[in-house]
Amino acid sequence: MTTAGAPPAPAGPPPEPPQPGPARNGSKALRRQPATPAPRRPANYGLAVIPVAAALLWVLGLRGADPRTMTDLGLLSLLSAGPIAALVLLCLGMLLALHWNVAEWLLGLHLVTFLALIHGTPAVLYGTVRYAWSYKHVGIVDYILRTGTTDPDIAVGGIYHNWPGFFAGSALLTDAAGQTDALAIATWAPLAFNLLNLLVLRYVFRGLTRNTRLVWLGLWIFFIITWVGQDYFAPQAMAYALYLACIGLLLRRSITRSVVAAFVLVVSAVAASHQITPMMLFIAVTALVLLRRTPGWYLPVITAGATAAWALIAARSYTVPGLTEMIGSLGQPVANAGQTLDKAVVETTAQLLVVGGGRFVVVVATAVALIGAWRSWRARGLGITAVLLMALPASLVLLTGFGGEVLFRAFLFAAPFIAFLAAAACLPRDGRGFPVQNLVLTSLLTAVLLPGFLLGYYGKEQQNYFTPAELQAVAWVDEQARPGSLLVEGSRNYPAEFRNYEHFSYVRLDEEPAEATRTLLLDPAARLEEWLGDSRYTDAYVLITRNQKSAVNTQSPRWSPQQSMPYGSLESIETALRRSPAFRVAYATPDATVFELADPEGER
Amino acid sequence: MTRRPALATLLAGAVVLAALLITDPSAARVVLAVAACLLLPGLGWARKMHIGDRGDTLALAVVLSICLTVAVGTAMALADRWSLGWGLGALGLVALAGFVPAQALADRAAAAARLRTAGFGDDNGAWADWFAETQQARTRRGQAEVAAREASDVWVDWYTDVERRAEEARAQEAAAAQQATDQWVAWNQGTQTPTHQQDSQE
Repeated sequence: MTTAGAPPAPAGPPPEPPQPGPARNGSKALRRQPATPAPRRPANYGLAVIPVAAALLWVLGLRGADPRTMTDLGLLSLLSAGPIAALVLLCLGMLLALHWNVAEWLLGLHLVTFLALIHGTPAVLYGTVRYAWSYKHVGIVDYILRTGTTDPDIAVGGIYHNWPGFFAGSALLTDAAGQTDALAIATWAPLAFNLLNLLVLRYVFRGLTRNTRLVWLGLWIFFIITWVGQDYFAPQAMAYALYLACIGLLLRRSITRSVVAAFVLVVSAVAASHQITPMMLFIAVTALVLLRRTPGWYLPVITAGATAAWALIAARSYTVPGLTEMIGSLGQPVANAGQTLDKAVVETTAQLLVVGGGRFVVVVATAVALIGAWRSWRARGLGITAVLLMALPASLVLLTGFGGEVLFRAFLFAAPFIAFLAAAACLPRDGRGFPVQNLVLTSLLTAVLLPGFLLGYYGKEQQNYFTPAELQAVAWVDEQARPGSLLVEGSRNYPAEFRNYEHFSYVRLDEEPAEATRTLLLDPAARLEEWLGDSRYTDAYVLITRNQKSAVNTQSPRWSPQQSMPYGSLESIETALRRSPAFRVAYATPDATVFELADPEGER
Repeated sequence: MTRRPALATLLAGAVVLAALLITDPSAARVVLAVAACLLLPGLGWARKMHIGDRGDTLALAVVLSICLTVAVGTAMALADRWSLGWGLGALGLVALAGFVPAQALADRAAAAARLRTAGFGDDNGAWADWFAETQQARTRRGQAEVAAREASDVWVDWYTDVERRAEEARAQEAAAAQQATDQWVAWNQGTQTPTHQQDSQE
């Protein structure tokens, strides 16, 4: 009996949630059924105007820009108000598109425009391939196109001939495209690889979640944090996309025969193309299988088998002699990481900004990702797979220094999952919607990360840009010299070795021992005359270019017995050679000079 | 992909290619080479994986094509037998094999062989009807498998969500119930005290 004024009696437990019944409406209805309540997808075609407007602003702002006038801030120094406004507009458009939950093609349009602007601009603006290393890789493709084969025992660039997958594939593509060399393909490679990463990463993220917003926000964050320029024409760029594809295959709930077949094919291509990616792939696959994130005990066996088979059979002439060095770098994380950190040159405020910008992005993105992981764990939806794949690349530092690049590679392999977890931190805890406060937070995060990304990615363009005049001089030497020639270069940083590269023995002045450098600088003409007069060589040239001088002058304050020459060394060598009667200018452009002995036969 | 967007995509591709062929044949060759090496070899095989999503299918098509191009190029380079014709021929064959409905053809051949051995003669189209039905049933089975896989994913996500919400609701209800109980006990104690006091006074 209830008394008047009494509160209601305690209620019982709430009713059980309704259980989902068996599928009744057939496959179509099920396919349409979303994991969460049907998202609002307004057909907001007005948003499509934003990427177009941003592209226009960008193009107009960079019209007439001269890459030769870049400062220590690289391509950033050429960005005026127009391109910056374009970037701001594009960021706003992307975030609003996520807020309004528009169709995926609109989100894709924003991201593709962003990639086209950021990664396509150097290709259009420079008119030449960026990165000195790209030219070396073009040279290997050139070798395959000329000879139709590889030479695992070759003296220069042997590593590429032992892992020729990427180069052989590129040679086939170049040949099919009717090109004489891979320069055109290499020019557009960064954009192409980033578009490929967009496709493959969407596939990977869809294996981690069915939340479309989380997928696209993860993609957005990935592309504004990956400042590590590993997207140029190189085996690692291709192997990276293939690594992600393998992870994507394993993140599906069922491993069918066709998935295993695709996995074997992709692993084989990676094993034949690159050295460090198969190691990372093996670590990731083993961890996923051991922690029961994916079925298939045989998957690590396949990965290890393909990698070992290639390294010990096809690439034995490189692997076996290098085993001691490899074993020596095992378990030395500090030394291995130190190799990367030592590479950073910080002499001016601008260089400090560039180096700091990149590192700042890594720290901020990782911190936000950890918040995302913690929130996800609190909501019992912990994407342990994403956390695992984010943490595993750190183990690479234990294994190898990889020529001073291991920290870059470790970050690159972790970046997709850092981005994914950071995106999870930006969305509401239950993953539903993208309310205004989250939109504001994400905008702030973008505003913090994007400048750091631009500094890290564009900040080194002064060294990465080569003028057509520089390229012209190198091409002349490559065409002119007979097999068995000597090429003395000021430094490695120029468009080297892209044609007939095996015709030369190379001597890099900035890599000479300190004693040899001192002797050389005392009397450059006499010393070089001696070198070039060596009868072992059919032809001999000294090549000094604009970028070589820039590289030597940048490195000079760090002069050590192992590295580099004093400031202005190449300028003084060039002047000495011009004055010397023993030398003559064989070919010259405004940005490069080729010297040869005035009387080569007499000298020999 | 439904037929209309696929047709539109094909038409748009053809128009772009025609325009390139007229204005810049070398660019058209580059586009064709990219398609021949980086898209077509894996497209049929990616479609056979019945992934369901067009973006995912495209991603796998490109990845498989890259791997096949690498495989063909590497094989030719290692064997010292470089030939553009043979390379493109091999890629073309692989691409064609991807588009051939091998399973359906094998079924058809097996059925035909069985019929021949059974000695059937003219059956007024009964065999054709039977074969069409078996093929339709196979297609339906395949679709059902894909749907079941997707449904399983959907169900797991949905149920996890419902379970979490129910748990939250239960916790809230329990807290409310506890609060109500506390309030009721307090109220009850408040109403009982004067009676005891009255009893003791009496």
